[in-house]
Amino acid sequence: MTKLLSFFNRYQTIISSYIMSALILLVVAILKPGYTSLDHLKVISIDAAILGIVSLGQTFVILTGGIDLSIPWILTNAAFILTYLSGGDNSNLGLIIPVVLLISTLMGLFNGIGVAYLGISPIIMTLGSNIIFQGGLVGFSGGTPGGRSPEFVQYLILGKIGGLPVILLLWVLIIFVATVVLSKTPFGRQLYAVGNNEKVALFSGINVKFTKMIVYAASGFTAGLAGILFAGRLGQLYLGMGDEFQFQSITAVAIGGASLMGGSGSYIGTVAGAFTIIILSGLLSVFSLSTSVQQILYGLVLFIAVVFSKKRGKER
Amino acid sequence: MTMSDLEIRGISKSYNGVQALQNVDFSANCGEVHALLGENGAGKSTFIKILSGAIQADSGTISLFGRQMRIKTPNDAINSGISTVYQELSLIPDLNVTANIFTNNNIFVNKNPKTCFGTLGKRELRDCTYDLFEKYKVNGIDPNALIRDISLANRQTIEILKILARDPKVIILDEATSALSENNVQWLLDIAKLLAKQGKIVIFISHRMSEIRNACDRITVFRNGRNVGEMQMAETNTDELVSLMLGRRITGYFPEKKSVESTEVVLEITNMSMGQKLQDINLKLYSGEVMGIGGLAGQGQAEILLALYGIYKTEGEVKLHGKKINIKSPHDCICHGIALVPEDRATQGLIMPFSIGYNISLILLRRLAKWGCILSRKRESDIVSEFMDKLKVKADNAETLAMNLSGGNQQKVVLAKLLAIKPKVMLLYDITRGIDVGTKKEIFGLIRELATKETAILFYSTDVEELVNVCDRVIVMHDGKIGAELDNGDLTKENILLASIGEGIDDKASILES
Amino acid sequence: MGKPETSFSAGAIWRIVRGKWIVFVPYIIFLSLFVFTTILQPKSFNLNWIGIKTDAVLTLILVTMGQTLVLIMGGIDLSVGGIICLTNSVAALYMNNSTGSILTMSIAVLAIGAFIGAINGLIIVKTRLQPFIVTLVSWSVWGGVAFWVLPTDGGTPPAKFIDFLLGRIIGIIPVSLIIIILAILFWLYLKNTSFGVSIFAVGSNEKAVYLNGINVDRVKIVVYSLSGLFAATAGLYRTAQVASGSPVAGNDYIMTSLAAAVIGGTSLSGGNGGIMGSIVGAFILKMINDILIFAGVSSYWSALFQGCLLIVAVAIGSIAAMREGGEVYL
Repeated sequence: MTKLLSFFNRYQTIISSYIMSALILLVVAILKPGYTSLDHLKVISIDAAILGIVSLGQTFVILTGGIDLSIPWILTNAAFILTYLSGGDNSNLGLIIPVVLLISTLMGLFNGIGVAYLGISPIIMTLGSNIIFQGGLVGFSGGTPGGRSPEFVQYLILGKIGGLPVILLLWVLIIFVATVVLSKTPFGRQLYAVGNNEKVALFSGINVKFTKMIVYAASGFTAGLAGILFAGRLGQLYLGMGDEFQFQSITAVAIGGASLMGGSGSYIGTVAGAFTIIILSGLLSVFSLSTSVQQILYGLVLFIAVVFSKKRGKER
Repeated sequence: MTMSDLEIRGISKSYNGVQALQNVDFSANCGEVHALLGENGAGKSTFIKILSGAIQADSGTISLFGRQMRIKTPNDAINSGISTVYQELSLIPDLNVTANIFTNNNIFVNKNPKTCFGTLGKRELRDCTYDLFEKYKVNGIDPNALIRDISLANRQTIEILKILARDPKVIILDEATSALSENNVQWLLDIAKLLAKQGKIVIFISHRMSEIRNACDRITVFRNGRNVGEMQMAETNTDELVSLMLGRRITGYFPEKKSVESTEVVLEITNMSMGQKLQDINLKLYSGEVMGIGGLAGQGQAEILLALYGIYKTEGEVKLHGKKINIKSPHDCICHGIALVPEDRATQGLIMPFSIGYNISLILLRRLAKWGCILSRKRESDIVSEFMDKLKVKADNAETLAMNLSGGNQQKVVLAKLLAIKPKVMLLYDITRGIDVGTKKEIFGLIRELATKETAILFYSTDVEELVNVCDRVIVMHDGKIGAELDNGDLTKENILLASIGEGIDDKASILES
Repeated sequence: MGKPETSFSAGAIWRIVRGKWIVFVPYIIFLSLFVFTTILQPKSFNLNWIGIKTDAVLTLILVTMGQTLVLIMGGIDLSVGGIICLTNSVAALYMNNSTGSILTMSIAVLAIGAFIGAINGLIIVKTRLQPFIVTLVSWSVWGGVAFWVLPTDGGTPPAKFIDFLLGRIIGIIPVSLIIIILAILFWLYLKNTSFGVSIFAVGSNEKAVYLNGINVDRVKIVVYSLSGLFAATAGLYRTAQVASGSPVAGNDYIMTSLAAAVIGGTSLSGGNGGIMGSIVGAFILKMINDILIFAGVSSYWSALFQGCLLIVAVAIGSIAAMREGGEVYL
């Protein structure tokens, strides 16, 4: 019993994020029974998976005390580069997907170098690079890019292995790896150390700048991966497809119990955050609420999540 | 019983269930310099914070001249005439000296000289500053200089002047001498005496017994959050005070030195230079010796340590056991077995929300990983418990968070962490700052023990007494250069002080004649 | 000891300039761009031309003024985006062609801005959350409200209103230029008051300011309200300038206001900077944009240049700071 209690105490933040998302789901289930059918739950999971993968990089960045606002256009770039290079064709994907991931990682690396080695504040650096990536894409394409994503990418979303969508299997793998990295490796421990106190980390022999640079690169990578998957989810691409992820990824991390000051949080929590947001936006569309209400509600949910995670942090 | 001028009754304060102050009474009268003594964690700083409004007491009353006061914010305290010189200075780096002196509620915001447009009268304020400088015999500070551009000792002086400008009735000097050099300390002690003579109440907190003996009239001793005694300075002696502070007698405060006849050079620095701050530093550190670094504040002592630890870029050569090493970051140092106990354990030494175990293993994460990437829980807990035992860290277990430890125990965790890499050279940056006497004794013992086990130790302290008693050899820094090297018979307090002053002019502040 | 004689030797001036050369960089860039633009279009240089330029840049200048104050205080205000969206929508939709309506609506819109700013400040002070998060939420919420007020671009602000703000006093002096001059006077006044100094003080070392008995919370709330107020004036001016309302009008101004402030020499870490610099920063952004258009570069690229400029400006500042510190890392 005490063991159970101490377990609960330790993972209080994470558990309460899951309870929150379950509660919202329950509300939807009561108000609109059809919404929680197995098929629809699958759709919810797929959307949550994409948001969850984007938010992995954001979790890393936020753990070190930074923030990545450039996710939308890294993601959009990845999606468009994929369709541009492949021409909607499956033939060279074995080469193209790694190239796309490499490019998005390099975009993240650009942020990382600016933040870590040039000392630019993360907000400015990533806000600026977001604009640059946007300008670059729109400029190169002359303002009217388009295109369909290759079949294989759509298969990643819709296809099934043993009854489960491929993307969910991929996500489970990512959750596992991310959790191991964060809790069981020197690198993970370093992220928490850097986020809590850079000076102590430095004096303890941790290469703070390198660590900070890497998290942005990682965020670029996950945004690129999510871009590929989202291209598959959408089928038809459009400019601005990534815009929502800027706010949502931060919100997901905050709902998951991470401190936006850095130094505490977990990916498992972020996963709950991603589910909460997707279910919530489903709820809003069920009642066909307008953009305005959605935007207001997102803001309030983020605010409540941040207030809660801070309160809990204080008590410790 | 008559009421004292400053009468504090029944103050209690607890943080997260830990009782920091328990029903404390305190009284002080006009015209006296009143010392407040106690080990770290005895509740002095909590008490001062309550008195200055930085935090609020759970219960108790404060009355000044018979009138009970409600102090909820620093503003309230300042308005009722209580001003504090804080241990960590309360200056604003981006404002100039004048603005800082007049940055306080009653002069700066309300009564400041104004022009006809309602803007600040800059010239008038500057004249006020000059008047203040003249009154308290301060020179060599430019009133238009930004605080971030002036030396630490000058900042401390400005902090004190700022308080004096408010003309308070009660002046609290919370370890105000810690950043000052010996003759600036004398200047401050003289000011304290002068203020008392003018009929003010001066509350003086310091860890240095000699200062207290020099300046104070009455003493109150705190222990474990209680007031355990109040006495006249003239009627007591150091032994009595120390035993009152500790609640037990303590003997053999400094460990015995063992004569070192080693000729094996562990660390050799040749021609280390860094702009004006360090010029041509040459020194050899022998195995088994404790070498001290002394001097006035800000003469390059800190820079030597931080440069050796890869924080500053310098020219010159560093050899470890005869081999030239290239230090670019603390990481390189740790790989070579050079460890630094940093200046401030709260911001540089420990991650406060981490457990003791996490803090200790932080420095050797890579060595704890198996298969190259996964941390081994067993290896980690073995090492953590080994070094916690070795240093006698007082805590329930390794899961205890660093922030819940006392200052002395935190410093022990810092040491445990560094010893875990089995260092060949230890750089100690004012390791005893803000540490209670009991832990100090343990740490001195440990330093000596490490030295006999052939770890070379570079010991920087602001306390001359420690340098004389702990070190085998002391170099005294002056103006970025090694001013003198003292050992054996030459190693005396007087010699260190003489060498600190060097031959140059000390323009920090002249000594106030009172 | 007496007061030192002030000397104006070359050496003394050099000592003053040496550490602070970075302060002059935005002004030098501004002047060179100004000269460059006049050389490009020598014939068009007159008061009216200046008026056209100031009309175009005034919205940005107004937002940036508030943003600059917040940055000096060590905060950041992303809510200016939401406030511009909302005030622009409200002004475009509800103003009609009577002087009374124009006046009351203008005052109402400014009050909305100041009110939102005050709420931001209150929340930041009371919850001790990061300003970044609080104002991010505020941006989202008030942007949402703007959508509710005005779901799609539209609204026709009265001609009288437009004519006044874009007009020329006594036929020649642009109103926008006068507003800019007033803004500069406001700044020169503000920074010499005790309130102005306390903004710098809070940005430099908040804890010290508190320990000195200054009401930090009050300073913060007032500064965020001012930022909201300035954002509202920007929203109002945009209504006249574009002669329409848009629920997403403000979103671009978040980045550009930060960029203008930073290019003008305000640091994000607080404690230094100024509105003069920010005004220059806004002009720099605008002129570069103009030059790009003049050079026939597609407008799609101008965002990219703005982003690059922002990052380069911040990088120069932070590298200079690193060098001056002489430290590898601390």
